[in-house]
Amino acid sequence: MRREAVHYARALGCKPDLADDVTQEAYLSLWQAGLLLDRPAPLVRAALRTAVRFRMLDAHRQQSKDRSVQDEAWADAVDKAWQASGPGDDHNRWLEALRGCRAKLRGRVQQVAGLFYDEQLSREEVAARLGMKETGVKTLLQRLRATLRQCIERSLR
Amino acid sequence: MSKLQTAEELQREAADRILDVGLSMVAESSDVGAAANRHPSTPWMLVAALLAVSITVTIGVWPRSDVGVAGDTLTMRQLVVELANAPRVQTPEHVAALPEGTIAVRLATPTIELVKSVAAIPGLRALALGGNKDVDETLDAAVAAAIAKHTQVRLLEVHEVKRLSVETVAAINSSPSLEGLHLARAPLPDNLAKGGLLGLDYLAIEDRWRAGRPDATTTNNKRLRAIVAGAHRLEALALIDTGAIKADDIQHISQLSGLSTLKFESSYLTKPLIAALAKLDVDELDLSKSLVARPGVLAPLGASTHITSLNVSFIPRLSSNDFLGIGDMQSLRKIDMSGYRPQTMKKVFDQHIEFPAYKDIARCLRAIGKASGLEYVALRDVQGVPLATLAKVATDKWHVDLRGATLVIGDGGNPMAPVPPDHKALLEKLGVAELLIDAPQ
Repeated sequence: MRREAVHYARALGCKPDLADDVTQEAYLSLWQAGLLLDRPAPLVRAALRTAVRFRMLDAHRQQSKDRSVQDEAWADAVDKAWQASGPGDDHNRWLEALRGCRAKLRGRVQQVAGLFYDEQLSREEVAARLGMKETGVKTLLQRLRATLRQCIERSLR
Repeated sequence: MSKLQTAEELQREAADRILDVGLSMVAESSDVGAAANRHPSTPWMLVAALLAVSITVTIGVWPRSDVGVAGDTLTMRQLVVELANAPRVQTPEHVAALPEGTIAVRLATPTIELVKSVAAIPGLRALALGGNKDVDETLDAAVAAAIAKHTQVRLLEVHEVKRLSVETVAAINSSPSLEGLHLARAPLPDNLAKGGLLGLDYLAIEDRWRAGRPDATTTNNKRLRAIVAGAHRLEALALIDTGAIKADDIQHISQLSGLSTLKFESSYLTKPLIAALAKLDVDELDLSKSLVARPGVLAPLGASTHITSLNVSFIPRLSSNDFLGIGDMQSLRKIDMSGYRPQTMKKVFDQHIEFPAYKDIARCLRAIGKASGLEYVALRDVQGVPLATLAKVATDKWHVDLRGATLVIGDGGNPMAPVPPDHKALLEKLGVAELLIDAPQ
């Protein structure tokens, strides 16, 4: 469940360090409110995501007051996408499906995925490494996401 | 993200983001597995860590090949520990009652009779003398006689004497067995610096006096130069509470080419001082129990390319900013941050806000986690170690000491709890090579 919360926090825009902090704080707030004990797992999951969301918004507000409206719109979008095309209420299964689909990638797409996700290179760096244009990498990444999304959907069906 | 994006576009971008983060997490977890395969833990590492933990005084290690009397097989580091914990004797009767095989003795208030009786202990290898408020020439002569007789004494500590007599200095100078000398609140006479330090592997100079006592050996530039000139074989040097040493003086130490261990316990560590220490070519730097001028002064340590072992335990007023620099030390193998107390008040937008301790410690852990070669991390007595962060940062190469610590457990446990006694479960959760926790009560 913790991994799920970190994933959600990072999707909201937290850097990995902040995602850890935000998750930890969210857990603490839930524990202090007695929400972690004897509750159905989906309820705890939803409460945790809400707590993460508010913690993240608080953290962002402290840095820049102007961005709060935009942040909330973004958080809403993440929330909807999480349920519609994301992990929903079964994060573990979704992540396993993603892992399986990722392993099936071959050729150019696999190369781009390795450099972009595993080695954390920027699009520009990936393009330079593979002798492509940056827009080409962008297109390949879009195709990669679409392929993975279909594959995950098939796996979860 | 543009303000002109529609809700649908935002949701599509959010879906991409969720997928991207998922892929990064998959890659990260694969990395951990790959790293585990690349660096399998080996039994010798475990033994080395256990040995390191069992030795609490961090001054120099020198193996001796000659095996005979028990005290001869000990390293100097072990001998220092033995002497620190040695029995104190005050009368010849005490000496007579010492068990066979005693290798270290402390004479709290030595008299001539006492020194003579100690001289009769056959296996004595470490001796501490001093403690008389009014030390006179007579005692000095007796001390000299004891040293002359105990030609096998490897470690001598002289503490709380106003001056050393010519005879004492001569005895130290001529002792063929002396490898280590600890002058605690005792002077370093010029004639000793010139001749008596030549053969030493270990030298400790401790300036601290009790409140109201004069400072006998203010170790300054001149003293350091004398040490460098006289003790060029030194492998370990301890400068304790030597407040007069400034950054400019540290460069003299760099002339000790064989120096591998430096203990520098200062009552006022500043950034320039730390920057000078970071430039030294030493393997082991021990700053424990020092006092820092302000939080963040340890940051320049990040420039060090040599230090493999760093002890910053029990330094008050450290902050996670200090550890940001430490994390840049790519040569670092071992860090002791025991007794770390986080700064729980943070200044944000000119306002002091309460900052949870575990977040500060999490920041420290993430910072030291950047040191990729790290193998040993001591967190003894640290209150509020965030378990989740520790589990994430620690690798299977780490040996972690959590004795006396408390944990913040995010996964539904107590906000702050003692380290659970289930060693196996915790070891599995952390995924480290070795874990030291308190034995269950």
